[in-house]
Order: sequence, then C-alpha cells, then structure tokens
Amino acid sequence: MRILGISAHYHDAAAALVVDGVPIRAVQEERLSRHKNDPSFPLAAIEWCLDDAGIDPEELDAVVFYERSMLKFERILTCALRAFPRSWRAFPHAIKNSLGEKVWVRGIIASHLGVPRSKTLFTSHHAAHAAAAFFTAPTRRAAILTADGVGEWATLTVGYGERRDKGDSAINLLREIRYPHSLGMLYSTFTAYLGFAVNEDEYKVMGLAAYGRPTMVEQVRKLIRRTADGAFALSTDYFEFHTTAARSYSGKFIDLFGAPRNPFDPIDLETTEGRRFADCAASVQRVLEETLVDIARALQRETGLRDLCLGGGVALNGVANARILAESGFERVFVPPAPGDAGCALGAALYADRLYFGNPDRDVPDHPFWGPLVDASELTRAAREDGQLVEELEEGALLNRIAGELAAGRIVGWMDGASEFGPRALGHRSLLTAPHSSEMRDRLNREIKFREEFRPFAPVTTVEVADRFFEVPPGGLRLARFMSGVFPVRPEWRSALAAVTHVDGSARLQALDRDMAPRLYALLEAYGRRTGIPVLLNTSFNVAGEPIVNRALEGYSTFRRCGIDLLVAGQAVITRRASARPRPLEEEMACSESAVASGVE
Amino acid sequence: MADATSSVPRNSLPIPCSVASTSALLRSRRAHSSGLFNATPLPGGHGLDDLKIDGEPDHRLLAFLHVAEKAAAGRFAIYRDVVNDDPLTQAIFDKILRDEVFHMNYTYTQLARISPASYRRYVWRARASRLWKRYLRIAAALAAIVGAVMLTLQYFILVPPFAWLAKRAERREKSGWVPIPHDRVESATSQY
Repeated sequence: MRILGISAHYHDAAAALVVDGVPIRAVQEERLSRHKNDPSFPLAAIEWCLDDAGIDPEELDAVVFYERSMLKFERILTCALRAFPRSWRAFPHAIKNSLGEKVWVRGIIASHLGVPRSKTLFTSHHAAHAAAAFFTAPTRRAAILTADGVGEWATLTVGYGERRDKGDSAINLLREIRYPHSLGMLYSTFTAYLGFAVNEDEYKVMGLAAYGRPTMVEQVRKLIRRTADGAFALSTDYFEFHTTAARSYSGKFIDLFGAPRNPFDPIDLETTEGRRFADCAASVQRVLEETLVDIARALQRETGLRDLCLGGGVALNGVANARILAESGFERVFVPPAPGDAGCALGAALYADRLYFGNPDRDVPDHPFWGPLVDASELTRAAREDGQLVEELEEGALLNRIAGELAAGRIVGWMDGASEFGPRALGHRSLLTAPHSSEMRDRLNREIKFREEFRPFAPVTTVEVADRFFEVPPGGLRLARFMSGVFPVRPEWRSALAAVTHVDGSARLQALDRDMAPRLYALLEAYGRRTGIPVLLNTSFNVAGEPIVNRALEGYSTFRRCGIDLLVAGQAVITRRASARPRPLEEEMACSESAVASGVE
Repeated sequence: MADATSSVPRNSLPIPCSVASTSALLRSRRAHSSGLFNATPLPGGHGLDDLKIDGEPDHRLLAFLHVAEKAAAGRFAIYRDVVNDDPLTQAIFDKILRDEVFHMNYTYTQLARISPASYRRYVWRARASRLWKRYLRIAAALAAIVGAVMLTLQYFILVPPFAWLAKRAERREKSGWVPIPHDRVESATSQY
C-alpha cells in the first residue's frame, strides 16, 4: 500500500511517502524551493518523493492531508465573530486566505496529482502529530502528549498509543485543550514581543532564556492560569493573536512587561533593557516547563505507562523536554526528528496506514534520513570548474584528513547521504568544527552563520562516551538521539568544550549511534583518537535566513559565500583557495564591458 | 529523473520502477489544470517570486539574472551613496555592490558569449518581462484592496447577528480540558 502524506498552508510544508507501512521518502518543501519555512503546497516535495521512489500518482492508494481544513476554517471564522468588531481588520485577510486556497485542499490535490477525490483522506492535526510521535518511536505502549500553537481547535492533547500483539495498533487521544488557550501561542507571543519571527525563532527565546533570571514568573502567571482540572487557560485580555493578524500581544501585555523590543535593535545583555528581555525569556520558559511537567506528570499517573511520546512544535523545546524526562515520572521520552508541522506529513500517512486501513504495525527505521541523496560528482564538477582544490580520497584517509583539519581549527561542511527530515542537522547536512574554544563559536557566528551572539551551538558525540562529558540522566540518551534534550555539560569539561557550552553550562546534545550515521561516527572516533575528546560542534549547514542545504551545489554555494574552510561530500574534499585580491569597483565594472566589446561585438 | 532503482536500496521494500517520469506527469497535469485550484492567479507556486530554472534555456536565464542583478546593483549604489556619513555601513554596501556588479557583468558576458547575435534582444525581453510582472503586482494589489473593501462591508452588514450568537456561545464554554469521546470515530474523508 502506497500512501502520500502532505502538510501545507501554515508553515513548514512537507511530503512523506509510506510504502507497505514504512516511510521511504520525506522532505520539507523549503529544502527544494529554498524558501525558509515554505508553507506553500509542497509540489516540489511531492514530485521528489514520487519521482525518487519511482511511483506514479495513479499508483498511490491514498493521499492524506494533515488536518481538517474546513474545521480549521470554522475556527478562524468563529474567532473572527467572537472578536467582533475588533476583528474587522483581520476578517478580510482571514477570509481571503482561507477561501482563496486553504479550504479547497481536496481539489488542489486532485488537480495537481490527478488522483480521484475519493483517495484524498484527512486526519486531524493533532492526530497526525500523535502518529508522527508514536508510530516512529520504538515502544509498544506509550502515553502521548502533543502541544503546538493550534491545529483545527486543539492546541494540546493527551492520550496513549499501543501496538497490540495481534499486529494492529491504536492511538487514543483522551482530551484536549482548545484555542485560544495554547502553550505554543503563549511562547510565540513572547517570541514576537522579544522582536523575533513567530513560528521560526522560538528557539532564540529558549537560547536567550539562559542569560536571564526568571524574575517575571508571577507576571507570566497572570497570562496563564491553571484550571481546577489540571489544564490551563490563557487570560485573553493580554493577547491579540486571536483577534487580529497584526499583533500577538495587547496593550495590557505591554503594561505588564514594558515596551517590546524593536526587532532591528541588537540585544545587548550589558544593558538594563537587554537583561529585561532575557528575564522575560527566562520567565516564560520557566512557566512553559512547569506547565508541561505538571501535565506530563498527571498523564503518567493516569496511564501508569513508562514511555512518553511528545509531538507538536512545543516538543522542539529541548530544555522543557529534559525537565519532563527528569520530573514527570516517565522513564523514556520519545521526540521524533520532525515533531513540528512538517512531521505531520509523515504522521498523517502513518495514521492512515495503521488506523484507517488497519494495516499491521511495522517497525519504522529509527533515523531521520528520508530526504534527497547528495551527489558528490555534482560537487566535484562545480568545484573544478570554479578552480577550487578538489581531492577524492579513500574513506580511511578522508576521515583522518578531516579529523586533522578539525583539530587544526578548520570549519568543515559535511554532506553525507540522504538529508534529514526535520529542523535539526543530525550529521548529514552539518557544519562541523572543534568544540573547544569560545573563539570558534564567535567565528562561526560572525563568519558563517551571521547570527546573534547569544545563541548556543550543539555538540555531537558518540552514544558510548556521552556520559563522560555530559550529565545525561537515565533515558536521556534517547532524547539526545535527535538532539531533542538539553543537558548539563560536566563542570570539568566546560572549559574544554567552551564552544558548545551555553552560558548556563548546558548543551543541546546529540548522542550518535553508530548505525544511524556511521561516517560521522567514524569521524568522531578519528577526532577522539587525535585529540582525546570525541566531541564535535555540529550546527546546521546553512547561513541565517536560508534553509539547510540539500543538494551538493547548494552546499557549494554556501561554502563559497562564507568562511567554511573545507567541504566534504561522499569521497570528495574541497579545500578553499585563498581568494584573489578584490579589484576596485570601477575596474570590475569596466572589465566585462570591455570583454563584451572586444570579444563579441 | 533520478534513477529509481539506485535509490531503492536505502530500504528493502520492493518498489516498482516507473517508466514515466512523475515530475513530467505532474507538470503536464498542472499545465492542463484549469487553474481553479491554484492558490494564486500569478504564475508558479510562489506567485511572481517563483523561479523555475529547470527547462529554461540558458540565454533566458542569463538575461533574467543580468537584469535582476543590474537592478539590485542600482539599488545598492543608492544605499551606498545615502550613507556617506557612515563609512562602516558604506563599506558594507560597497562590498555588496561589488558583488552585484560582478554578477551583473558575469551574466552579461556569458550571455554575449553564448548568444552573440541576439543577446541584446534577450536582455530587452527580460526587461519587458520585469515590466509585465510589475503590472501584475499592481493589478494583484488593486484586486486585494477591492476584495478587502467588499469583505469589510460584508463584515459590518452581515456579520453582527452571527457575532452576537458566537459571543453568547463563547460565554457558555468552560475552559480547561475538553474530553474526546472514546467512541468518536475519526472520519477518513471528512474535512470537518
């Protein structure tokens, strides 16, 4: 049975292909269109999934969309009505937006793919999150908690999933919290207040939080009160996200927290204002963690289960995930590599396979590498044409060479095999460097990533030695598999791992299993043999504002535009040549005019 | 089209190799679809900002790039001149401008190399295309304004009674957990 899952129209559109119960291809639209967080209908992703698997659209048994679009429209319309007359500005926009495209999903799919309308199926948004979290996790029975901004009406659901001995499986969502009461929207509101991009920069709030003190927790608690049944409710007076598209927070919110940050002003943590913003971030982070831990703890008591599957965009908050693991009573916490909306494409396909069609459960390979393969020959051709130094090395020599370059302080662009599905670079589209000095972190921020100084970098190490360098609690290695948890760096290693140790002594660790990314694992071993510390700094292979690179040529383009020293794809190693002295502008402009005049005309 | 057989070994599933290219099929469907379900009346999934390189001849792409880079260079020249009093910022704009000028010249040289007889015509055609897209942008913006006015009028004329009902229903809603009935059957085909 061949099932295509699609997520689109909000943010992070994606397509995923499931054949006979197992995912075989999945990619986010942004990786192909090169528009970051691309929300448009993922035609390029669908094309790639089907093309690469050699499947025609007619051969699909079902195409599953990740949410019920009319139910979502109902929510948008209802919220506009409830906010009358304050919603008068948002109303035309919302109606045009929804009726222009979003509610015609069945027609769009039929039109583009040519599949009969009867083959187009729907799941609810949080059911897709739950399926993405549960069906990809290696567990028989687990509690499920999904939390994000909003799906149709639900913003947070709890339940449980089970794989039965007969081969069938089930997901039972027990209850939900409904819009506008949303942990995701609370966090996004602070993201906007702190001058960052909503649905994109929430992780910056998490990074900034470590610099602040939670001095405004009581103020944040005025925004979110706990209800008697253990849920929560937002005090909607402080918010405007449910009444207008223009702003997330209200004047009352500003009265409580002070003036919002101008997005164009840098955050200077030496100033009072800078510290106030950091304290805001720390406070909302604290309240988010406490709320999630409470809900998870109650769920553990209710279900008595040992495993928890976390889904939804809120599950990208590694600090909260680590606290849930430590304090909720669950022994293992599973977060898929793509817990956000992109992962819903995979979740929707798996949900349809297991629950709509009743197919027997199949183990899902426990890795995130479902995207396009890198073509090293494409890279070598481009680099040679461009006059760069290209070497093709045998595997052992390549690993030793790269380990040596890393030890010498070089920055390496590392492209290997299929690209990751999800927002994290987990070893197939990564920038790697030595993690030892804060100068390296500053150089990466300044020359490569062009991003704020307060944002931390993540370490990768092998699963066998992770505990030597990091305080990984029981069950923590599972969270660290897809870089989903933040754990303390052991105090004695903090100075030796300065580039990946955040200001609060923590790190968002990736603990690498040999089977998941054998080449990177071997590189870590080679680096460890050379330096005694088998830990590398692993950050996504992109520059600020761009999606993670996908094809070799995109890697090469990034390599040429910033200060990466070496680029590796397959057996090819490209080393940056010292650039020629830039010519004066006038000389540059005159150059091609004379070339055209003399050589062509 | 990627070689389907070469990509199969990543997992052990038997996937039948398609003879026809899925991409080609999808493209031809799109060409024949009525456009009714297209998100935007403007070309491409990303509206006017869409750039499909596949299938475009080199001369058209180079002409497009040359015109775009020239426009960008013009803009950065203005930015550079405007910040005369700030040498640091001016140096940054100068660096960007240098980059844009290099691209502008490089694309022009390459265009002249591959189409020595008609490269000027291609550049003019690219300029005309930009002009046409500019017209489309203005038309789309105008349509958006007219649409917004119509919807706003409807909002104040038709919506009030429904808004009253919605607010009344909201007051009756309890906050906190909403149980999901255990026997609720998830419909596979319903959008509701």
